Amino acid sequence: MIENHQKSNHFLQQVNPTLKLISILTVIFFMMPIFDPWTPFVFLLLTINAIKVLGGVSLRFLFKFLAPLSLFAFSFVWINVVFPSERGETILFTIGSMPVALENIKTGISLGLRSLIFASWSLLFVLTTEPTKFMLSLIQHCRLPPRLGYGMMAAYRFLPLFQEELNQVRAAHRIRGLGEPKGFTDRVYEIKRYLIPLLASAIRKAERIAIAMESKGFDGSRQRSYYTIIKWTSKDLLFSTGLIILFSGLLLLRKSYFLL
Amino acid sequence: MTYLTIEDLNVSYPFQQQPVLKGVNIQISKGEKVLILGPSGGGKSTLALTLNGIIPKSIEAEMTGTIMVDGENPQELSFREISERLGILFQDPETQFCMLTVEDEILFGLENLRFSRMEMKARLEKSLDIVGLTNWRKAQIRELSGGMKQKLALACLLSMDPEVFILDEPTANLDPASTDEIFQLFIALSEKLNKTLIFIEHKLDYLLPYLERVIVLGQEGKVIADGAPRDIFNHRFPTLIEEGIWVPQICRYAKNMEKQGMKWRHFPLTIEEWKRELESEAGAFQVPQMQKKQVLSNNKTPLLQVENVSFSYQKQPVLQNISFSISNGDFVALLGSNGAGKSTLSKTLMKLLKPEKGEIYLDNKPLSRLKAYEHMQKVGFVFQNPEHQFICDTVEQELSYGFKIRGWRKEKWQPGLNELLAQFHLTAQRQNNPFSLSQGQKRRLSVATMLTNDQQLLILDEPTFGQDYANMKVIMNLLKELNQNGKTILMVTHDMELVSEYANKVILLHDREIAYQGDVISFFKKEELLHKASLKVPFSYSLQNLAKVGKEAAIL
Repeated sequence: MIENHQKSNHFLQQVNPTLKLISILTVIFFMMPIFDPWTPFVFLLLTINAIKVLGGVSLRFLFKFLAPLSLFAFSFVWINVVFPSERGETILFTIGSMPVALENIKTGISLGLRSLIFASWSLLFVLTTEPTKFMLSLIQHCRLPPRLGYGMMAAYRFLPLFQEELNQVRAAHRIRGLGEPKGFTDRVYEIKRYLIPLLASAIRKAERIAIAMESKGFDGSRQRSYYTIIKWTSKDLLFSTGLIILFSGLLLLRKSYFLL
Repeated sequence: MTYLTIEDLNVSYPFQQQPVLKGVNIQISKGEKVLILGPSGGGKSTLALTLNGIIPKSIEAEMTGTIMVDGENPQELSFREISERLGILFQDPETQFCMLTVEDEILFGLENLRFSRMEMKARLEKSLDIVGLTNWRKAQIRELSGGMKQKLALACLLSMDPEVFILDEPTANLDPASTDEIFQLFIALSEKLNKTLIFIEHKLDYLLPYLERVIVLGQEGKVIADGAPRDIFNHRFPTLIEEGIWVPQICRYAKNMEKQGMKWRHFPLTIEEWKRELESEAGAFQVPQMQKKQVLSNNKTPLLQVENVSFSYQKQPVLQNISFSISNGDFVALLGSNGAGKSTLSKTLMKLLKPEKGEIYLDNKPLSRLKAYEHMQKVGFVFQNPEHQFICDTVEQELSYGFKIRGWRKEKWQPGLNELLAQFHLTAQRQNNPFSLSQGQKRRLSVATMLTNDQQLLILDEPTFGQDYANMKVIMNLLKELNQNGKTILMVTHDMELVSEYANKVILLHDREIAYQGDVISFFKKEELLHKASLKVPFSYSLQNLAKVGKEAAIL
């Protein structure tokens, strides 16, 4: 599913992975001083639209990831209302003996939306970037040592295998008559029991992969050629310009409308 | 011209008293096709890894002696330089790749060798073409079957074009059909490219005609035989058997005939040679028959009944209307190619999956109504990887676990425990950690743990997987013994020799359905069905058939 998105030929997929990574950092910096609810709201809408239009990801697919996170986002509202660092003046109503202030709700919404923005930008990255290209880009543009880069790829391949193995160990242990754990100590023992076979096989697998890589002539050095070279293109310029326009537009909107 | 030289090689791993290789001397010339045989843990893979310098460069081991590859010491060459001369195809298809797609994986090796983009493209396309994966160029590796993964691994080596190919049991994890395809590739390779091929294998029968030389490593890590296959399998036969090493079926039968007085002018290694030799004898000798198993009778009580079971994963049907029954005392082989639904079926029997339709009855009680512990006391499951089943710190605890769960006191289970330890040859290891055991010991322990509740039915997933001949024999004889004492056994397997030797009933899963259930001999006669399910009759069966035809011809 995710691979199909990562591989499609939309605009965002063609942007250099390193640039996309940098853009996430700038978004974090940009949002830092902003506490009104409207700026993040508009920003979030624009981001989601960008992922849909420029990344070709359907809204349904996107919301499958965002929906559970919105619960987390809502907790910001709750925390700001119940434990405000400074209670606001405009009391709307009281729950029991606790006053609920408009200012605190606004900050809460702002922070909640901010977390959703970070989440959606992370999704923008993950859904539109092939892991292999990302790794190559890090090696070619950010001087990441190939030893680490290809090691990370091997580890990434490993994850589904690990999941499968965990399921097998679970099944095998259930067959031995170990039911669902009851209580805390049981759980600790369960983890210990799972850990030993999983670790044993993980170490063995890692060793085998390392041997296989070395026997294919991999020595971890930078002296290697590349079949795919991640290039900087006009798409990257376009993406950066778009980002700058987005930031300045939001700042302008904020100044003229949201802060009133 | 000698290409590989090994002189007085000794290797020992840390924390092990016995050296793995001891005083090994081997010389291999360019273009030779060599088979290396030896018991499991006998140092075959170690030998391969010393040749490309990974031992001792990456794997810690004490090594003395000289190794020369193309006149150079592999320890002094870089991994890149070595990989231009020598490539290894490994056993486990899951753990030889580090990239996500077919194309990227082949390119990984080529990039290591610093080829230009043009050169890489040409080599990539050529190697994909040789192994027949051109249409899968962009495919994700994890979506490939085991056989295709090994083809990809071979393509990676081919693209790098080394002089020597070491094939370290690449078909050990594959079903017969994929094994055959891979072997065909090797054979084509040896004929077309005239490379040096070093096989480490134990599915020998189909490979034999293509080999020029056999080197045998013994239990102690020494070379105990080195010569032409016909010579070794004829004159060193007793030694091989003693060391627990796989010997081609045809040689076993030929030796058996010798006992009856048959004198081979030309010791046979292939069916054709066998035929030619016997024609002149005109049926004077009996080919030893398979032991006749008790024929299936219908009046035995059914133990397990599967009725109209269906199951699907994400709307893809995996099992459709499966029905079969297993009677008390049966020894059943469950066959089917990879992906035919065998593991899904065994999971439903384990109650790990619930069938969408249909019901499974155990002792006439529906499985869905059995409580987990009741189920466990009737059925034991032995997983493919024995390590997954270990939950305790010593062998003894592992075995007594089942007794303790039943609430028995120590006095009550102690004798039973000792008996199991003795029966499974684990008495000396009773205080060891299960993870520290050898392959064969682990497998035996995992079977033993499943017997502590006196289960009637034992389900085993590929019990002989990764075992050498001696270990295989021990396990299969244990199962046979259990079966003769009244236990019912259901064994998932790919090994047709095991089926013919041990099972008395076959269940074949094909295309999500039961394609056959019944006795073994009638099964082997259904050529069309076997072909459809990409199975092959065992070598021993073909030999016996041949003898029958020969005899009939002689009578006429």
